[in-house]
Amino acid sequence: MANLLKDYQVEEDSRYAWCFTEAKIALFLFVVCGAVSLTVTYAMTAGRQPREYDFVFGLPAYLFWGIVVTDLGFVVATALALRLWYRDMPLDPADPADHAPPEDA
Amino acid sequence: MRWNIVVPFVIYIVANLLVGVYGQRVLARTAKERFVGEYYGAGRDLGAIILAFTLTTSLVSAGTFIGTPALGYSEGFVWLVIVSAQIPAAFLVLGMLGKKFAIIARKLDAYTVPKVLVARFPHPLVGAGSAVLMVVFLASYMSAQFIGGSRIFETMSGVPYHVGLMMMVFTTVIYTAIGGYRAVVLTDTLQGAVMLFGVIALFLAIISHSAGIAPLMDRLVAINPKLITPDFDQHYSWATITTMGWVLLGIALLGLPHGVVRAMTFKNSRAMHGAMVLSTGLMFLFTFIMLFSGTAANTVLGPGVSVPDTVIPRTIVALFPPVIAGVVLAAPFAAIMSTVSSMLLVCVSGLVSDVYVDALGKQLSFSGRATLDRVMTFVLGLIVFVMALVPPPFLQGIVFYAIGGLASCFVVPLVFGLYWPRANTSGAVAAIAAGPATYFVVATFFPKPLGVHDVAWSIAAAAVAMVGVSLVTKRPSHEVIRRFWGKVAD
Repeated sequence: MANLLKDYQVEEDSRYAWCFTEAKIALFLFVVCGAVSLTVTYAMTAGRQPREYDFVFGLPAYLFWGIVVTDLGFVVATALALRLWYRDMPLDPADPADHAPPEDA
Repeated sequence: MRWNIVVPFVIYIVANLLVGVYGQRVLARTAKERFVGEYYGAGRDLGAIILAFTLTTSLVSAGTFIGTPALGYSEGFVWLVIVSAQIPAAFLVLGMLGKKFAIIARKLDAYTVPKVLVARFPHPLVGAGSAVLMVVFLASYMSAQFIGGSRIFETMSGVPYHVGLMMMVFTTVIYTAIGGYRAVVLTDTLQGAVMLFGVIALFLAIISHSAGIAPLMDRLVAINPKLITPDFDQHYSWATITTMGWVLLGIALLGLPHGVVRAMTFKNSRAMHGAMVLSTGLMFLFTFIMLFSGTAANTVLGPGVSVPDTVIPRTIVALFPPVIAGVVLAAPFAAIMSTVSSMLLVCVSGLVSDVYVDALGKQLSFSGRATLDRVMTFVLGLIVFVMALVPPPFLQGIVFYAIGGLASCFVVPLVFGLYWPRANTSGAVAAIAAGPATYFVVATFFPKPLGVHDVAWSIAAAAVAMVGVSLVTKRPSHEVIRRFWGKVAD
């Protein structure tokens, strides 16, 4: 990737480099949420009949741990990730000359 | 005619129209040159709360409030497991497209997804082509939402199908046409509040009906123990559960233009961050409660309801005293209208902006443009109305392919376009052709090969096409790279 930018002698907007990192963090958290949710759900029910399920607060354990706790945990994880890694940054183009004219000028 | 349902519904309709009028007032005060920005993006003014509500409600529709709970009624908690994948998906959309998408949209003065794509991959198929595809799929999807909603409204309230349809379509079209994006996001917020009230009330009522969650579970097991299994007693393979959930309802949401467009209209990065957390919380409440309630409805209605799509409305009517039932029943319709209004505007923006102005190169004065935007909203709304009134025979077929087709088309070009510099126009065209084509072929002839949902195959095909073709054809132009990666020298 860096090769293409180097060849064209394009200096990367530092914001974009960080945006790519943030995108990877978002994807990572999403995949982890999925992996945990599915694994917990499967592990708690594989080989068991419904009458053999454990229950937590009335809910089947896999629903409680695999969905409720995992997803609420995800909310907490995202809040943390946002606090720790995501940065506020200005969204306006860096240079007014770079800004496209309004659509129907 | 059940007035206890009709009256709250009418009050709710009027409230939405008033918000539309407010949106129109803001537009009237907006300078002509900024009309497009205001009509399609509310001037990129969204704060965290409104952004969270509009994103969540635009993504959550009859599918979450009626359709999948109906499946949950028949097949149990497997559907809660599958649909729970959408809970982190709003976060994913904002997080993956994020600020780069927002910065670039501002740079390009873009309010539509095709416009961003065509700036990255200059080619008519990418701009006008994807816009047309978007309109065809979404128009059918909108009709299907209204058809479903009107049928249910007729069942519950006694109001004839075409009258209920008119009320819903005209309201949505009017507030969208006159008030634009601002009216859409504000009504989305109002509708989100109604949906929130509805789901909380429903959850509490359905639990107290059985005097507790544990007794409710006992009843479900007594009716059919398979209902509480996560896979409908191994009827669904884990490959299917994983891909129907985490790919179709998760990753694929990155390709839905009416959701993605929200990512270019927030006011600053703090708004985005706040919305990422808040929208996940909202998604959790809507998804968990509605899918739980679908299955739990067996304890209220018994297992014998013949048209499962009516399960949620019937449950609401069974659990609540008359007037409250009317108010809670507004929630599924709120879910429908919030999604359709967003889809409608995105379609109009595609037709006017991407096809008429950009691709066909037609010049318009500021006021001409404003008129065309509004007129097209009405026209498209009318077309959707006619399609819902007299459903064309191919409608269900197109709807079936609509969301998967859109995802197969947009996810790969968008994500690769933003983050992989070597992705080029040929690769994008290949992906836009390969994605939907693969989806169509797989869904029609070999559904769910190896248990893996069709959309996983089509997105993979699009990705292979993008990478493969890009690497063997020439690199993108200096201009494109500079625009999407560079900073301007000080």
